[in-house]
Amino acid sequence: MEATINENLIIEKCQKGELETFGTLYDSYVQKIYNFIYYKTFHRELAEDLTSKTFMKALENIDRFSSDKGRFSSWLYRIARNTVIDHYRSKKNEFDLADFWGISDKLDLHSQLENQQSVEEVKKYLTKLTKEQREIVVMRVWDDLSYREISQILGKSEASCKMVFSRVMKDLRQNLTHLLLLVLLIKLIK
Amino acid sequence: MKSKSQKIEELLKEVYQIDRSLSRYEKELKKIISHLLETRPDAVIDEAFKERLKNEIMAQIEELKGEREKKFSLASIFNFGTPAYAVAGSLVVLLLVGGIYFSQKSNNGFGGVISFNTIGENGFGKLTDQNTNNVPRAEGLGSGSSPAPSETTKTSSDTQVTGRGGGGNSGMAVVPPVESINYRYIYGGEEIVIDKSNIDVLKRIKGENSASGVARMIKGVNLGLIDLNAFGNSKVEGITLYQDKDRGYSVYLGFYEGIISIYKNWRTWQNQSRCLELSSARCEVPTTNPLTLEDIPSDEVLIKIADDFIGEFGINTKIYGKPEVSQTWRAYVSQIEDGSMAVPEEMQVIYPLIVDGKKVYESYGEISGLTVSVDIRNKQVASIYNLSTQNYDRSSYKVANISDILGLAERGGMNNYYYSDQASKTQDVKLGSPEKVYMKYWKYDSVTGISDELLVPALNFSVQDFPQNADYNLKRNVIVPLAEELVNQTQLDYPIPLIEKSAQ
Repeated sequence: MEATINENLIIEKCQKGELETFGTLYDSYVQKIYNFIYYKTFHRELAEDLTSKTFMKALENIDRFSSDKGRFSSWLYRIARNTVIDHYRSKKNEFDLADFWGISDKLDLHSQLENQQSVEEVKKYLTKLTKEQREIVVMRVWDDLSYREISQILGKSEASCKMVFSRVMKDLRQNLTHLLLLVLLIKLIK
Repeated sequence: MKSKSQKIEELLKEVYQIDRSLSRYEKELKKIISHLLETRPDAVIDEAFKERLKNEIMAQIEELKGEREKKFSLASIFNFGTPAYAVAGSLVVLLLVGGIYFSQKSNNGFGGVISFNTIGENGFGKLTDQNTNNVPRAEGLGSGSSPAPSETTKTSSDTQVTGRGGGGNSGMAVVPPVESINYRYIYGGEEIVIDKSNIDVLKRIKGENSASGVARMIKGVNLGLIDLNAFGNSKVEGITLYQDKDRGYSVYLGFYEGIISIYKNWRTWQNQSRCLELSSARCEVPTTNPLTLEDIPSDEVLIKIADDFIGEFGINTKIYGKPEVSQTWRAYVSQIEDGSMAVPEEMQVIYPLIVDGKKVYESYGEISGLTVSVDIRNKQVASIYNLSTQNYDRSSYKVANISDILGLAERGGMNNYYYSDQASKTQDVKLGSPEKVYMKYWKYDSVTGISDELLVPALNFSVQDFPQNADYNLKRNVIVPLAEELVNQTQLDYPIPLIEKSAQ
């Protein structure tokens, strides 16, 4: 709570013209935003590029942020999410892509991915989910965002986000046996 | 930071809140969540990227602030309140904003941010002039030892600048004493190890895009005598603005060079030297004539005068270190005391430029940075110079070997041309262990007449136990660049006395 109060003070200063204080916000969030974008792109340089764009957009629009409408963190993540979506849309506008998961294996982008091993393994779980389910699971488990933050980023209610996550767990459990066998098989091949 | 088991428990608790029946499968759910956590990819952010982005953000902040604030602070200083000046005032403010704005568009910033752009190896070509070793002399509307606005591309910081504009070691001339001492620098520090084969040399980026932008802004304005539209494809290199009030200032905005200089508007200040000469009743020449050592304020007072002025003008000093008062004049104190020399009319307060955490020095050993010259009689700022955009291209160059570096240090560093056959004696001075710094170096092309402003990684060997009555030619700091090409060039340049003392 104290962190949020300090954060709001910093933002207030930014909005009053003391823009240098934005540096503090940058320091607090750069790693988190980079991670958030990296989990959607699996590409270091692309993640860096989109992180840069996110912070520049945030800086230029800091006047528009209102703490009445939600947390700063949610606002910043929402900018990051939109930046990723814009990027993939500009790459392949015939698809409605939100992140790397929507990309066909045939696309060149796929071969440029880093952490190939992790990606392949995670895909066993995540590509079976809908776009919305996947985003919520990744945000909750990997980004460690609260349901409140997730709901503000996605523009949904907290309850529905919790519901989605719970349903995913239920589905995955039903497929667990199959999945574990698959993972075991991959490990044996390696 | 939560542990993995804490995180699993937390997630399970949330799942059960929605669907209590799932608690029957806790073991399996734990496996799933655990596996999801384990497969989280390593997203290690590159520290260099983090720093680079922060610099870019700070540059962007400067731009935004420039748009939001500068127009108010500068406009308030140049207060064109009367209707007759309203149009001119708007134009000036427009230009001021434009001037500031230009500096930011390419991530530039006056005083706030340093940015770098890495290019390939030896990206600036030869560091030395391949045509001649002549060092250019700067003339024009200059200010101090910084490049003169109208001729800056032809200047060298190693030369004195002449012309209107003040700055530098201005005021009453301080000439060196007739009798002199030859100094022999002897290295007495620790063993020096250089573990790199290459160093990054920086070149300050100057831009003209912004200048043409400013030109576009004022093109539609017909000033009566001059129709600016007649100058097709024109670019504004620089403009000078002035305060029309008693003891006002002029501001020179050098768009191409990316510099700002502030100096006394000579029309609105009494010409002190003329007043001293004529003893006119119209003159109000304060304090003694000439100045004495007692008239020189303490360093604290000088720094406060500089700080206050900088604050009033809203100059961002974030990239500069703690201000210090130049001690160069102290080399002549003994001559001042015996009456053969006058106390300088102005003292320089220098805010050292810090790049990559290292101070920047001039090749002759003086600290380099934002310089505020304080008028001693009026206890007011006389000029500000060396305020420039700090955006650099960075390129890798080969490092000199340590024996050549030490050899050059013991010869007094670059441009240590001083040697007097008439010197009454030769004195040994000890150089201490060096500190890593940057050396400002003007790479002059004698064919084009253009100088590039480089920052070369260098070592600063300070003279230990600096003698109290040292001759003016003794350097406090011997600056030796680390670039092989510059060290070798200096070896070739160094003047050899016709007859070595030891051979006499």
